[in-house]
Amino acid sequence: MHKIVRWPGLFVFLLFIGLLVGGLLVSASTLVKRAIEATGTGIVGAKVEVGQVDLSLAPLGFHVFDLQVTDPDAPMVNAFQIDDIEFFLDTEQLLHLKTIVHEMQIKRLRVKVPRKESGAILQPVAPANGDAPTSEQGQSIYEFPSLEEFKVEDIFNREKLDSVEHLNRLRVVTAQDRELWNDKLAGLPNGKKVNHYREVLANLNFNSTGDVAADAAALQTMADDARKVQGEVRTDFENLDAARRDAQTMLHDMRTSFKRFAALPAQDVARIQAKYSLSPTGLANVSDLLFGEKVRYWVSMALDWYVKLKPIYERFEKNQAVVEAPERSSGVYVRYPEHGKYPDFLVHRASISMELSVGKINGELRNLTSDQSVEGHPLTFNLFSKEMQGVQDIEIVGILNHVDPGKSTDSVSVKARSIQAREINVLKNAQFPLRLAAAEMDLESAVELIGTNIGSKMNVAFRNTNFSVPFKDKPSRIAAAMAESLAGIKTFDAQVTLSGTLSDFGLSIKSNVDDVLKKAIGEQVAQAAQDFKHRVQQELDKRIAEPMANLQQEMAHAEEIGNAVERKIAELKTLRDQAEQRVKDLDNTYQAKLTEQKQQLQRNVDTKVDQEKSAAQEKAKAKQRKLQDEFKDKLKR
Amino acid sequence: MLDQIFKLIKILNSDQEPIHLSMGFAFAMVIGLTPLFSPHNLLVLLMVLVLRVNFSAFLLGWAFFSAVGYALDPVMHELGLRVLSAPGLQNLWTEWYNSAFWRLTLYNNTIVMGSVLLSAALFAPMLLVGNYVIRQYRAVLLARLRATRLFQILKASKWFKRYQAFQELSDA
Repeated sequence: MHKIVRWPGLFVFLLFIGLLVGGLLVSASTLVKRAIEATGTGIVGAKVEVGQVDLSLAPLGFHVFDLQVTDPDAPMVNAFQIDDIEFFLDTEQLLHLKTIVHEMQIKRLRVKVPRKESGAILQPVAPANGDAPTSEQGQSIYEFPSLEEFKVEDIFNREKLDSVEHLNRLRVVTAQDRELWNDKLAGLPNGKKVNHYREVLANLNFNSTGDVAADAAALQTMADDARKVQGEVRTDFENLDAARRDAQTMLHDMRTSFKRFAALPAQDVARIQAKYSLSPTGLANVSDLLFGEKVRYWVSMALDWYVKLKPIYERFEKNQAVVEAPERSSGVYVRYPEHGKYPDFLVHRASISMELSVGKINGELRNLTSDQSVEGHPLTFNLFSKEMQGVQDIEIVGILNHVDPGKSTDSVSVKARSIQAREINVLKNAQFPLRLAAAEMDLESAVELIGTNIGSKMNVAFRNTNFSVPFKDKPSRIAAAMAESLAGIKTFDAQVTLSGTLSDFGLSIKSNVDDVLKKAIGEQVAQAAQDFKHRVQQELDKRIAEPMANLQQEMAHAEEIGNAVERKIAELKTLRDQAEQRVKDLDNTYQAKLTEQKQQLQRNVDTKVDQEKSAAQEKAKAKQRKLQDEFKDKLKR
Repeated sequence: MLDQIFKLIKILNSDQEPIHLSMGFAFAMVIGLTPLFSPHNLLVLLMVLVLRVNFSAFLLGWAFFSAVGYALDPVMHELGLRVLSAPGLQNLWTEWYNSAFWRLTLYNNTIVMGSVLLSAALFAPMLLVGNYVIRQYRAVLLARLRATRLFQILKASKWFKRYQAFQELSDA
């Protein structure tokens, strides 16, 4: 028997293991690079790229260079870019398949860096998140009103007027009805027919011949003729009655449409005024109109990134009770309670140095993990700078507490002093291109997110403001007055309030600019609005006058049709009653004749019976006398 | 692949120990049924290299059992899930989960657990049955096959000539 063991095989095995470990070490950098790129792209929804990853063995760590995260909404721009990330792994925990980083250095983080090529991905990697805010959410309920002084005629030529359209539609319908009724009326019983019925009924006169039977037969024929006329009159009456109902429905529909029309001119006027004229109500919310666009953009972007980065600080827990069928050959990893305090991934502390175009911000981040419930501490971060151009100091402090994922509470506060604003396009509106040429601001903001409910308050105090409105064309009176008023504002406060949920939030912006503008141009705006309304009303009245007159004619015609039908109905009703009476009379006469004929017959019968009875009695008496005579003869013998 | 088949036929028909061949099939079953990149397969590789396992049988068996393993995936997932969820074993699994060594074995993966259990259960029967079948093949079937007309025809075919040429080359 051969030996069962071959020892050279052990050497081959050790060689294989050596090659395997060597291969892993050589490719570790590439594997980590690919892992960061794939995971990041999946989270962000746009390309995440890493320039280079270097591995260090003692201590075990990685040096990541040139991390670029594309802005998914602007693929030619990196949302942020980090030149250098250095971190070391806890090797003991790595054996437990845990990635624990005690110290991480994030150096030279820059935002909004242009890319050389697009970072868009062809297909969305992550499914749409229901919590993510959309571009329409938080939209202002106000639209910036037109400040142009339009010619009312031009507006009317451009705008679709519901009132005029309704009138025209109504006129077409009534004209169609008129045609229909002309045909219909021709088919209904006319005067000739009614006269014919009358003539027939009038000719049904009874003259007795003296012969009762002949009279009765004649009466029966006349009654049948009268009944025939009665039937025809009744049918005509029913047809007319149906036509009357149709006419009533037509008139009712017309009147309803007319009533509906009554409200439309006022609605047209209101709509045109809202679109083309600045109202005093609009003026009350002018802060929202002026600053809302910019604020909404920043809020939407911040919330969008909050939702996008959620997988980094909160694990998506599937329902434990449901184990989905895994992909072939991959299986499911069952999790058990852990004795240790470490989650699968944790960065204990990361120091951050951000380089913005206006200067540097430094800060740190603690407890970055998707399993805060295991680690037991919330993610905290703070950023602070006194080295930024145009800002005296800025401090951002945040806590993302997902220790209990069902009761997450996140809060971020921002404080900035003496922010110098220069040449900011506040409003990109062709009629009112408002610019903030210069201002100094103090800002204090606190945002709190409990679950998906968001609440935020921000106060901004503006000083030394210099608004300007570089009109391209000659401005309207109102626009010029507004620009002048804004130019006179040197200090003002603004309050921004955010409330609702992540997917459906509302934003309100208030400031004392509203009061200043209201005071300065309120009366002017109110007067202009009133004038505009008057002119619109006049033009509308002019435009609806002709269709209105036509319609009224059609209405009168329709009313006439209704009346004609009513008259015919009344006429036929009388005729119907006359026919009924005639039939009744003839029937009665006929019945009387029949009775008379019956009585005469009875009398004849009675006379004949009496005659026959007398003859029989005579005959009996003669027979009796004969018998008596015979009996007497016999007695004599 | 063709070479491996010829080698296997040659070994089957030679006087090499049947246990070496059946060990090749048994280890191939383990590596074929279980996910390839599982740490326990290093142990299988060590066994294959150190023990006198027939490589041709191992490689052919690996190809065959990989296909079987893919087909049995759902069954092995279900088996693994039941074992890993068994209430009586929760303490053991929790202990293992907190041990670096056992975590590295990927024992908590349903397919790893299911396939390892299945291949472990079938290992000894496969070894014994394989051994018996090879012995019977050599003692009974091979002699009868050689006497059949079909075998004579095959022997005269170009395939058989290729097989012979291969045998001669191998011997040389």
